Amino acid sequence: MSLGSVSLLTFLDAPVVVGDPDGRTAYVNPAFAARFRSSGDDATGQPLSALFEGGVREAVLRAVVECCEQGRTVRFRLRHGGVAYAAVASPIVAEDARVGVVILLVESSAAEERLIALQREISEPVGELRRVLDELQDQTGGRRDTSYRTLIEDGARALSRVQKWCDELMLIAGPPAAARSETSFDARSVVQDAAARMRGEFAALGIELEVLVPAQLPRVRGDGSRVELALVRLLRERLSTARESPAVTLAARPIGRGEARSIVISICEAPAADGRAPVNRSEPVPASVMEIVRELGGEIRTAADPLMGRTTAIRLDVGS
Amino acid sequence: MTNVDGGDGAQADGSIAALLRDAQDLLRAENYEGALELYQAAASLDPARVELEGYVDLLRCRLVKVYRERIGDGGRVPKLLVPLDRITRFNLPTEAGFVLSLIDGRTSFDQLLSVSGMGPFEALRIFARLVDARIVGIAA
Repeated sequence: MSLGSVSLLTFLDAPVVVGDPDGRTAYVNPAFAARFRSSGDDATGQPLSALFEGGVREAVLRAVVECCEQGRTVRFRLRHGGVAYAAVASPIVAEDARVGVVILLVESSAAEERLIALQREISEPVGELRRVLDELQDQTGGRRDTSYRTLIEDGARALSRVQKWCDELMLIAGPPAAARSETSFDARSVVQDAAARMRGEFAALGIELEVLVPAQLPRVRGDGSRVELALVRLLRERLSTARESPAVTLAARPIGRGEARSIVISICEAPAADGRAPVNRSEPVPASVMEIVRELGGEIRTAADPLMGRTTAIRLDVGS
Repeated sequence: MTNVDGGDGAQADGSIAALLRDAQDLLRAENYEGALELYQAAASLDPARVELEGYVDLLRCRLVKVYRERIGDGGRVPKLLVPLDRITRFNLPTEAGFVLSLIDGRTSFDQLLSVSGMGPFEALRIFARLVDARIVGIAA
């Protein structure tokens, strides 16, 4: 075989798998074969599911399905043979518009793994504390000694600070959510990732969190991880006050005539299910979120209308 | 309906206020599509008022639910109720023609929404209008 006909992936130290649109293995590079294949037989043509086992198989297949169905890059983590990997699954569109996948696996450092574990360990009790405090606040509201309420409110404020740093840790340690750079980012992925992170917390309170985004959005100027952090904070803040609403929608779309110069991302809260006019809560946006939006050169406003509901809209400029 | 002219800031403010008043009337009459058009017009008159874009999104979200209700179960398969040679009489917009071209009697609404490449709001609106116009129905 001449060198010209050999894929450059052959020389990569990181394991790579390519899947075809039918879910079969189209290619594995030697690094993958060395680390994941004990039998030494050719993996080409085998189902992708046959390459992995147990929990790893489940994680890979889930990522492949999400990647192919939604046509976006999915990042996840897996552990095999005592080694932790950060994995990136990206869609490949074939000539007939069917979608295949390429999966790249990169070894994680021990420190990175420890950070991720810590983030998970902290998130769970923080979420539990939030639920307990909310419950206490609901039960004591106005009927008991004011000092109890003050104590609970102090606790809730302290917990918000812990939550804030936990969010920061999530963004540093957690799997980077989408292909991004500091100069521009894929707004569709950022919106979907923010919703994915918060969907469980909304579901726990019986509130549906929907996403309304077009198949494509122009790339937006700035650091996508900052926007994701802002959206997570806004959604969490909305969660604490949205209990009257049956659903909250995270929407994004380009704005402007002709070629879009900016996009708008909105958190939309429908009026209460029983038809009551929503409380006219157009509270100020949290300062930390204002700061992020200002850093990105965007604008943010919250507004409410009894007939329509409540909205927080962020406008961001499209990258050059 | 309010006429909207360009002009200085004060004129624009007056036009926006009038548009929003009319939009509120339409909302009270549950005419969400009409209200959406007016909010969109108001937002384009003053791009600095980001909250107007937020209201546009609130209405789009509301309409998505309305359209989904009109279409019903997204797992059902749509079919053409009008012979192909008579569809040109309806003078449909290009996007509607494209959506019609995707209907094959086997693919469900949800799958068509996914493969249309259009935004969910736009695609649902077209489907809902085609269903309302009895150009599209449900396959048995």
